[in-house]
Amino acid sequence: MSKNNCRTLEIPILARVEGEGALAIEINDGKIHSLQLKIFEPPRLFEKFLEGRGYQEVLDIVARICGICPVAYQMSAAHAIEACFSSNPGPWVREMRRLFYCGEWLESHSLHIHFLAAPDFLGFDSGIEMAKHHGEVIQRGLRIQAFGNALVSLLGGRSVHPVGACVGGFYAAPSKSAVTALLAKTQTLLEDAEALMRWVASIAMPDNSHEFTYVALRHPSEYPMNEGRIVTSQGLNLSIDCFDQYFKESQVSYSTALHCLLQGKPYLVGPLARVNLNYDTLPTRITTLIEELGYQFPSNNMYHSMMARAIEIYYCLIEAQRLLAHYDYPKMAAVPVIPSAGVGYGCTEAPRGLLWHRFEINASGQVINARIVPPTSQNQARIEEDLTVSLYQFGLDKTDNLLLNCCEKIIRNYDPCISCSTHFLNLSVSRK
Amino acid sequence: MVIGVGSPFADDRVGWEVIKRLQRDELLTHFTPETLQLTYCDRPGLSLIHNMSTSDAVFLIDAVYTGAPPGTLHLFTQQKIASIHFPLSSHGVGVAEAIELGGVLGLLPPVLRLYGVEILPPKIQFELTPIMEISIQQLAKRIKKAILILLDPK
Repeated sequence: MSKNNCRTLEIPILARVEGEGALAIEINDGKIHSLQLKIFEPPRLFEKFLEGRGYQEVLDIVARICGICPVAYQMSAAHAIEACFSSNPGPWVREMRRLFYCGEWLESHSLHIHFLAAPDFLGFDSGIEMAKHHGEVIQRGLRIQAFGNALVSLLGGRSVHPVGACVGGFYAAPSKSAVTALLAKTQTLLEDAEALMRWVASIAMPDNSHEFTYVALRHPSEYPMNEGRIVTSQGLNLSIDCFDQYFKESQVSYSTALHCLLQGKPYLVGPLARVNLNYDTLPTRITTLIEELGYQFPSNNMYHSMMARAIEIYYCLIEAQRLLAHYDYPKMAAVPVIPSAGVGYGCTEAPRGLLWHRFEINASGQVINARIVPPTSQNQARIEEDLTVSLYQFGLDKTDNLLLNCCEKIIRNYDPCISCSTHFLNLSVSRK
Repeated sequence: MVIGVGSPFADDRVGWEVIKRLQRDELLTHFTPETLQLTYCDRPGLSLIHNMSTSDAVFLIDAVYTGAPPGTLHLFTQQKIASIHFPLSSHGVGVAEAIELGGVLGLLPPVLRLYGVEILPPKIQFELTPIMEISIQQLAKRIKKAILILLDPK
């Protein structure tokens, strides 16, 4: 720290990340003069890759945008293309897509809670270090994650870049025996999920409550995954087709990733936003437990994101049990699709939040142009806003190391894809 | 269980290719699936722990980067695996981390070996480099011999 009132720290490259990120903060006379979260975003290239491709290729291509949430990209794309073709895949596909998504939320949320977020709050450098002292907790997390991967593999053929989904449905239907085998595991896992919520509730969390807008899908009769309207904490309720009228992407000079603002302001997407806006659709057994544990939603404390993920894990296991128990082998795993020229929109809830797709397709079924707005880019402006508020709450006079730890914890609440490793963040703080 | 770990990128798929050779070996096909499983996985991350959990003995095959000449064959025991660099991993969780975590949790099989093939850092391409062919053949022979010693000592 310099002896004068100016302080500048820069860390240009984040280590061991998917993509690259950096954080630069300039503090003048005890005030944050600038704060820039720089993320380099792969999906921009994917939008160009997709141009000229046949609609049958799209799902396999977009699955490779992310190794942890390929299902989300496939689901948003499938819905957008089917909307363009006015194709309805029917109730069996609808239910199986929901099961598919349960798998992805389970493996993503469990990985994040146990290996990315929890070590921060328990004083460990990594999930492996934490495992030496909390072996049963980690084993429980691995069981949940493995079941999530198994659900994705059941419908997708494999858990890494699944290949089983197609426009219209799935290339093959799971066998009854495979479904029964997974159903048999759900009862024990439901006990694990309840125990996980209790364990998360036992962790002392900071409180950085402050006002912010949050956005999620909302469905009239279920906790949202693949379908719904876009709703906000400010009372907005709109069709996914109208996303562009309210949400604007823009380039910022310090990042190759686009920022997205809602009527000019930052907003939150992700598990906390979903729980806040859809609490009434959660099963009673979950809301009863939430109240017993002393939590109240909606919450504006971003540190409640871990509990929101634990809630969604419990929900997904209940939902998966239901879908597996009622499984019927179908006559067709996918409906025939006839391409037609037009524009289609798809908006589903990736583990990290709203994932919006727009496809313009020609009469031959080729993509003319594609737009993909991922949750991580939507949260960027909100992360910067949160960091600014939270650092003031924390105290700017802290050492650089303490500021680094604070910033990492805040950013991990959002579970961005860039925080997949333990020490993802290179921080620069400029003090003047 | 013999698991070929890798990814589609260039020589990082060498583990998969060794498995394919072993799957075509006539002698090995005589073992029942309950006795011998030859399988491969794509960047399994922590799932590797689960994949290994049902077996008493696991041989892993993967590309490694130690600085030795490309094509060099290595054999590592569990204790040495943590020090190896694996070229590609899923979101920072690779074979070394999975094995370390498995060891901490007591979930590793009693017999665990890693057969490594030295590669150069993979480029964004799908084809194997020509020098890998000899290594694949040699490694498949070594692993076949090791399997037979383990499963049929007579």
